[in-house]
Amino acid sequence: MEGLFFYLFATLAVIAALAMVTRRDPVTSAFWLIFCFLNVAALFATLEAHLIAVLQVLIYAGAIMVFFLFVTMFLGRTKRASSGTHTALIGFALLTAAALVALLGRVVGSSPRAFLAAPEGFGTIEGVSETLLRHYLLPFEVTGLLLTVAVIGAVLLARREAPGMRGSREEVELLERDASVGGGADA
Amino acid sequence: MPDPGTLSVGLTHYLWLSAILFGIGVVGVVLRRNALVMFLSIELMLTAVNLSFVAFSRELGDMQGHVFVLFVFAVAAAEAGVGLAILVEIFRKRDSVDTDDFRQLME
Repeated sequence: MEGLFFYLFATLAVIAALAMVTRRDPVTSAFWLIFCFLNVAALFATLEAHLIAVLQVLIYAGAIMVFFLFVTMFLGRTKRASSGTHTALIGFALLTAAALVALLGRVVGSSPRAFLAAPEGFGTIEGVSETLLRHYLLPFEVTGLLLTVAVIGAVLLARREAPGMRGSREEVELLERDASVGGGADA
Repeated sequence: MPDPGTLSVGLTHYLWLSAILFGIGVVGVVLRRNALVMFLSIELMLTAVNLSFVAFSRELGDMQGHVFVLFVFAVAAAEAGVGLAILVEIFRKRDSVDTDDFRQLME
């Protein structure tokens, strides 16, 4: 029964990933990727990783992909078509990917053996949080710092500079001109 | 119809699937010219790696792999935030998200 679920969701995930790469429209690609993430979340559930499955749906398929879609629709109206592919590179890309998958597959090998029974409390919120906060407390805090830096960086990058805003490019230029012309005598 | 007993799956099945998804992501990054779709492909590669982490976690009965997946989630969110902010800024200047138009740094 578990095998049936694996093959079902694995097939759907691969089909969705292929569709994501081949669709021309970025919004269609994003929706296919969301579908792929939902299938991967189901696979996480078959691996007894219940918390990760829920977070995959909430954070990845939910928050991050909605963010992507938001930006995609915001940027959607480009003058030039930007949905093309590097047609000259198709052979190279397929060869590279095939070689990569073959290499990884060679490492993985083919010795199918079913999983052993999972220990008690495996993949639950309690279990994962205890591992996280007992053994990975410092990385956890550093992750919080990383997210703060990312938020500040994104806001600084995306801020539209209004004329006259403190610290804006116009104000700096004005100040420099004043300094060079009047020597700051008026001030 | 195969015997249900032969349908039992193990670590290798999940690792093969992870490798295939990662390969598809590589194809997307190399082939597509749209920077947004390249970002989506990178997210697919991260998810493929997450699948490996969770599969190994299940095999070893150890939840440290789950913790790493949580960190990957956070890094992916940070990467998406900063990357898309840069992309919006480039779009304002160049009116394009096509990577072939982003040659300013090369010239």
